[in-house]
Amino acid sequence: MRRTGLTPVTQDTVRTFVERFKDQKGEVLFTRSWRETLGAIVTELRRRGVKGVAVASSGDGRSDELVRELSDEFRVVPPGASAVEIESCDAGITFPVAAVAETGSIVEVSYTESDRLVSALPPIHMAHLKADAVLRDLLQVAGLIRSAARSRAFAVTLISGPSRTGDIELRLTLGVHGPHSTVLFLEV
Amino acid sequence: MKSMGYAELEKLVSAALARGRVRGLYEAMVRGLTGRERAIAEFEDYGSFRRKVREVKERSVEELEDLVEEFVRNAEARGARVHYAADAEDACNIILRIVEQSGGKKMVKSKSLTSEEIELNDRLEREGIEVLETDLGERIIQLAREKPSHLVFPAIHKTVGDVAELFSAEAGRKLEPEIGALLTYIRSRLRREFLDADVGLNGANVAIAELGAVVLETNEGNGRLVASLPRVQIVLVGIEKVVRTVEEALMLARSHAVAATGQRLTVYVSIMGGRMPLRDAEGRELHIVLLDNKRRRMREDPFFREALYCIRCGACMNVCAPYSVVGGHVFGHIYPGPIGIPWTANVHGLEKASFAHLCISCGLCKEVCPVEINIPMMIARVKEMEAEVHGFPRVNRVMMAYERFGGLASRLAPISNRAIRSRAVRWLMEKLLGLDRDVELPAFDRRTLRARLRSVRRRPENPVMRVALFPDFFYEYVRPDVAEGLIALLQEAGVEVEVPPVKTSGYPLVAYGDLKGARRYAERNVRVLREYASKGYLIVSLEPTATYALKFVYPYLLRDRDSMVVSERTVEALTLLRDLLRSGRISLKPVSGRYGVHVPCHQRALSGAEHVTLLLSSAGAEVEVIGDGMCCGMAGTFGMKAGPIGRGLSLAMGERLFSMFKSRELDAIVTESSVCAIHLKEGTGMRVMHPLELLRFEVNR
Repeated sequence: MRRTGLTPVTQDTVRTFVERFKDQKGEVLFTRSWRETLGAIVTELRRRGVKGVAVASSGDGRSDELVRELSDEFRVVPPGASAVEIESCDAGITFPVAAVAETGSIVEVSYTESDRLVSALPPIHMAHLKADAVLRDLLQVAGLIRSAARSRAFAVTLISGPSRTGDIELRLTLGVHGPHSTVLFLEV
Repeated sequence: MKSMGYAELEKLVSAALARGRVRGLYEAMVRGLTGRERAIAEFEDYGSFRRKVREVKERSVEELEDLVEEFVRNAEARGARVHYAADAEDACNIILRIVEQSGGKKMVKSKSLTSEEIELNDRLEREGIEVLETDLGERIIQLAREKPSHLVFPAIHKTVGDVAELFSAEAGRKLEPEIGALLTYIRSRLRREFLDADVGLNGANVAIAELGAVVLETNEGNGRLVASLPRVQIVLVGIEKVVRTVEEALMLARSHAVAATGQRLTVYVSIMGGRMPLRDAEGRELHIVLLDNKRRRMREDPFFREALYCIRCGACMNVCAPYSVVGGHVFGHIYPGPIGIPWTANVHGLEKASFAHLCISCGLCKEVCPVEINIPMMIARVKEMEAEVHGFPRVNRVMMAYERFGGLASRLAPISNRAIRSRAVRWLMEKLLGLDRDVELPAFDRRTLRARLRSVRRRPENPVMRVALFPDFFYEYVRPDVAEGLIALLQEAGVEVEVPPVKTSGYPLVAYGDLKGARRYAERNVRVLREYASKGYLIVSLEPTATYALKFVYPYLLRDRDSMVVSERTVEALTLLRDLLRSGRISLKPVSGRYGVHVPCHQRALSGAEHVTLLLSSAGAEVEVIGDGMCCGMAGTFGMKAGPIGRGLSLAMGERLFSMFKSRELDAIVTESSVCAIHLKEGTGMRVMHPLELLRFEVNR
């Protein structure tokens, strides 16, 4: 991991998270700023031959900025789209609110199905998260869930790598009904 | 008398033994067990986590009515329509009505054991509704028109070729037998269905009262699509799944993944409340069907209440040796495996639960259960209930009379020993008693332990400690010399040893379901031992099963203070020797050679391999613990019974372990269990020793 300027405790937590997320076949790319993340996302989308990209809402300015950044080169489906539109994309980009070191999971909060489907329908899932949002223990997510639950309808999803099955001859195979790749841009 | 169920079961087991093991099942089980071990190793203190998980379930079932009420109130406040279903038929009717009112003809489903419990698919299909299972394994099984053979891997018995054939038939074109291609097919095939379906049905792993929300865990990602895409979402959930807080729900999700597959968490854990909007989609509905189906009755039952603690991880199946041989189609009705026995007896009826006879009472299901559910005692209760209706099978009655038989054989030795070596006598015994003619029976000693002690008893002056030895059957009648050797050593080391007037442990009565009889053994032994305990005696037991009975089974059967005291005062013989060694009272003489240790099932709840390996390696021996985590198959007297539910199954269970031992270069196998020793000796042809036959001690003065 690159030099981060984080406290040693946090650094341990982040290291554990990264180790476990990767151990679960998640991919992690480190960036140092949101600006750098935007560039890294474009590079990764190109490298993977992506044409259509769905973007979830970030609750801050990131999704708008991302839509603008990508629109010249890719077919972009902005936040709030229909299921069919999201389904038509090769990649979906979301903005998790936290990650958990203990279980190697990222935590997404959604208040619309469109947001949730961005990480569920396309075969590639990309996400952006700042390293200071990595929690140590699973139970620390409880507060986030309660706060999401103040909304009448909500979904909190803990995602621990790409979708998988061992149903045929116990052979681990990635990407069944969900994404085959889960790529996290971790801003440190 | 054999019940109809028992005779039918014998036929099924015979056929299963003739077919051989279910393809891939054993590998899936071992993978589950090793994954679980790996995941547990990451916990700072898994034992304390497990106790907390159990407390969550205990509390939730205790407060069930309150929690259900709170859950319903909060779910309704989110716009959910909540339906109560008293039983399976009621639940099917409710779901059918919701589907009909939606105007839909097609339902997509993610894996839900509760929907299997109520046989929902059959009912919907009879009414002309198309049901699509979307979990890959479930979909394979659905196309094959079979039942799942494993809880986590329902289609484990199908090869990639089988799957290609099934999918090709559905697709109307030839698909290559290659997993990638098959997955691409099923993804696009079901993707259309997800987008078009009117109704989606999923189960819930947990329901959270404080939020009126449900938790859904899936690895494939189908659950997320079932829950989000269709206009109408139905959640079917048993009332025992409700917990109060978010923290409790998260603990259960963690515990479930660790025990089921050895994952830290299932890939997608969704906590969902209400129905979120989706652009262009109108009239989105959420229905929650809360199922009782005998759960409230189970809650009132002192034995079966614990079944409601089950979080459906399947770990108990992964460790069950008879299940590994015959598979879930024989060892199960709709709910398979060990926990399937009490669930089946309660929700589908006692007559469907006759596979209880395949349980060998090894107790390992309790050891791996993430909620430490006392599955073995629930199964014993199911066997008892069956016997109340049909009586005990004759051979089981014979096995339960083991103590009388042993006493007689010992008095008649050596004549009895010659008799049991005679083919004619053994043939007769098989015909009359059901005792297999080929199983090697131990030779009985005419001079029982108590008879020997009458002549040699001497007490050390000013003893350093006092020990009440519990000899059990084997060290009383068969190898009193081993117990006598231990007593002599202890006395020389300044320990006062008494052999109290106890009976044997009575565990075979638990194993065959005579709980009233077992309680009589427990009462008698606890009455005697309680006296010794109150005088400061440590209770020392040589036979792992007897130690297990004293420590865990008697307190469960008697539920009183005295049995708890006896339990607390009981230790294994090797534990005592380890302590004497540590205190410097005794030392070990060197032992050379290479030994494979077999840990008997009941010992895994005690010291496991710890003390035996410590003592042997301290003496200089090379030691390796060998096993796959399952029972060797002897299971007390189970392997002595003639027929498929007995020696047939017993030998099949042992095969893998036998080859493991035979593949090593060993001087002998070491085990503390007398009956495992018989089985291992027969299965491997190797020498099998009790650690006390191998270890030599000297007393330090």
